[in-house]
Amino acid sequence: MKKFLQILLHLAGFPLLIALVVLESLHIIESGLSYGVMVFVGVIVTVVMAIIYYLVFGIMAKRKKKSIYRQTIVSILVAFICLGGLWIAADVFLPDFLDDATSGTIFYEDLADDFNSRADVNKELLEEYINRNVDNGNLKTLSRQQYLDEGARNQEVMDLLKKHFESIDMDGYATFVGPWIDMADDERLTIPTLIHLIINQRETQDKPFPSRGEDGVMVNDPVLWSILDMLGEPMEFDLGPDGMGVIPPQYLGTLNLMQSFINELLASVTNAIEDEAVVGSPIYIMLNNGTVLTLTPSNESRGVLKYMSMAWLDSNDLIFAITAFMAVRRLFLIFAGVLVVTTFAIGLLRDDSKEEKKKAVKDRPLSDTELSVLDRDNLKVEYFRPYDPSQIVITQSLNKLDFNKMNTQLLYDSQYKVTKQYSDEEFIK
Amino acid sequence: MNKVKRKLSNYRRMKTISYLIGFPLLIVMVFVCSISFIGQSAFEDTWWYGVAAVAALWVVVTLLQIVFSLFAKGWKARTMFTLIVAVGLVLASAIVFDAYMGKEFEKLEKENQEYGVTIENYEYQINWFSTMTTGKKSMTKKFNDSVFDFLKTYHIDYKADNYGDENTDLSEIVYNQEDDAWYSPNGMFADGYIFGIKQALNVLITYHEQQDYFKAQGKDADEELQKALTALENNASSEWNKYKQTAEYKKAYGENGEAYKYMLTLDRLDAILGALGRELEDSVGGLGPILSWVGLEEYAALLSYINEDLDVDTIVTVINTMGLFEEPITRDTLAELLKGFSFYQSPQAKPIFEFIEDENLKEYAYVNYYATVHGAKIGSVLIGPKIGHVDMNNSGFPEDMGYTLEELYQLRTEISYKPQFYPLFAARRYLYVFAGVIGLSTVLAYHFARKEKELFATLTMEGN
Repeated sequence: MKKFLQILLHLAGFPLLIALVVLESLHIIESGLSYGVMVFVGVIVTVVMAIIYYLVFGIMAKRKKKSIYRQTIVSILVAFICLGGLWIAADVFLPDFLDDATSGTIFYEDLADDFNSRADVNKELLEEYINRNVDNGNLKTLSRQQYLDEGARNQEVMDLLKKHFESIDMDGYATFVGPWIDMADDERLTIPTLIHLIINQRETQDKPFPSRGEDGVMVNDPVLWSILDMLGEPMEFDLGPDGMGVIPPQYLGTLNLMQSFINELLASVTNAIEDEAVVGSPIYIMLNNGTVLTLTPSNESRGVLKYMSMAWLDSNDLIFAITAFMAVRRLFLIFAGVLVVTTFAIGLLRDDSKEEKKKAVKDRPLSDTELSVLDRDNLKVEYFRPYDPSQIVITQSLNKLDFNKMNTQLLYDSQYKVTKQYSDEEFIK
Repeated sequence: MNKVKRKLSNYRRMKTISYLIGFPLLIVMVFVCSISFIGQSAFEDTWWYGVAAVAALWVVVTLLQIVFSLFAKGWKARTMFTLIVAVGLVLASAIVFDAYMGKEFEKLEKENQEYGVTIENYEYQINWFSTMTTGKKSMTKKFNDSVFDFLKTYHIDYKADNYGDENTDLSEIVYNQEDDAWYSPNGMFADGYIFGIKQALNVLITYHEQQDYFKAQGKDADEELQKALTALENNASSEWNKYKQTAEYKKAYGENGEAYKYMLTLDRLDAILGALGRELEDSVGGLGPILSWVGLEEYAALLSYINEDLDVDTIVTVINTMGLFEEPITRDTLAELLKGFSFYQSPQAKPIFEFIEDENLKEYAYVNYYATVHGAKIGSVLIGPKIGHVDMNNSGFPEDMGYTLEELYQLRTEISYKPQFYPLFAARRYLYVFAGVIGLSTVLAYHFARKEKELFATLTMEGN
């Protein structure tokens, strides 16, 4: 029965944790399977921790050098450090590390309990990237579904992504020097900031940008990127009376009538904006509903996402690994507590079993020969305590000894934490 | 045996409890009282002062206790010494603190008398900083609220921030802790500098003070500033015009100056107009006959200018031909207009304000620039028809939500002492309360330690 209980308690520890981690990570694994081993990081870490725990536990039990109490304490410490300690340290160091490593785009707080949302974002980013490049003809070897199914396993997709990111990074983001791009990213996109971002001269590295030309042939001509490409979202300005109030109400009707002609003019303005002397990257300007001016960046037509998403996509395997690692956090913290309890309970059961064995040895009549080989452990009064107990070395026949006196002495020693070795001669009746 | 064991355990337990109700409990109580400071931006760096103060007292008492125990072996002497030191230090700290703070508050009142600021006296604040009556708002809460309102109004944080590691022209920036500000080589705020409360208050107060100063003389500060700037520009022998001949200035604004990389110049405008003319040529080509047909031949003729040769000179010619302005405009007139639109103040060259002789006006010029131009750049406008968070997506707050000079003085005074003093008030509140408790705790701890020792000695002697 005790053995069975021990097995049950062992099963309620790491084996149960591994099963739960697999269940918890299923969504992440499904979302990022094409990134291979990275999505299994959570499960791998759990298995490694289990191996460490069982190695320590097994080696101590086999060597029998330490008392069961000590073995139990060491096992509890190992379990706590591997599970709780790991995450207490991670909670201290990982937030700032993650902030730095992702340039302030992914935060610990985003992942700690909401890792599945992050997995969804990671998955959708890749799908959106593939869709855009299938739409603009950059990817045409396979069908859309085949590209989507293969995901990151498709080398053509990953090669294209690498070059696209290099271009938007080196010829885009890195060319915006000074404080302006950070201010735009941080809800301080003021008019002077926008002017600086458009007008400031920028040093480019002319990285090749693979795209399909009008004749259907892939070309690698470098391109420039505007601030709108970095932000990646269309901007809308309502010039009418309900918005900025630039257009007086009496002209609204005329503007509505002339909208298609104005949009023709704006198409020419878009071409002018694409000129290197102006911005160097197309910004599609359109008038909608007579008063709403929409500025659409080139991301969609070029097949790229906004800068931040491209940076994530470029490191999507690592982000999946971090996400998979974060998915085990809550379970590790819960099981740090569970394992302390189960390991302690296992220790008590083991100790109890040992006591029973000892009692069985003590209760049966012993021959003189048996007594001569009786080792001191068999008569050691072992209290569950964090120091070495005193011991009485038995060499005489048991019926000559005063067990009450022996017990009192060991009890006294245990009370005052004294460790001594006594000869049994002191305890003869 | 079991009875003895129980007795021993009881003594040990009582000794520990006695010890814990002394300094450890004092620290816990001060921490609990300090909770209202935690998470508040004004107290971010100081909330722990009270806890640290009582912890330091504990350390001092413990150190003295250890040192004394090396010389005195008798428990009576040790108890007496520790008792005197612990109670004495606790009470002395509280009494000295009261005396010191009373003086500090008197000094504060004197210093701020001219600003008409309200400073409740020490005896009032020491009790109201954290209220014990249910439902009564503490002074800490009121202070936190007023700081929050100010920061929200002007869209800033309590502590300053800076975007980027260098200026737009890659010049170095330096942080000054005392000012809580990042500076450029020319001594002005760095390009990406976001005001903290300290500098925002300084700028606003100086702005209003200088406005009032000129008003008192029957003048308008803005008009005076404009006059001074025009004079500096127009006087060929002004210090400003002399400075413009130096290498420092020429590096930024001379021919091919660094600063032009970050502003719209006439050359760049020429290139932009050329690209625009080229692309629009075909689109507007068909408009000519329509305009002529409706009798706008004059405008139809203008369309012929829209081609790849379109440039600033063409625009100037067209405007002058049409006689849109009384005075004919020149390329320079347009250059001035562009300057107002996208001027980049080089962080390495002195601004024109530096050469204003009138110190009041010079000061006003700087703060006016920071409050309006710099504020508009960073989306934290301090002065203007709209203040605070004004950017492409936010329209800020109306001007009348801005703080008056009196309110600014009040807030400046409060942030000068409350964040430092209030956390210490938490320690002081419990020092008096705990003087007796710590005395009792010391006596009891020694008593139970002695009893434990005696029992142990008895057992050893009996050979049990």
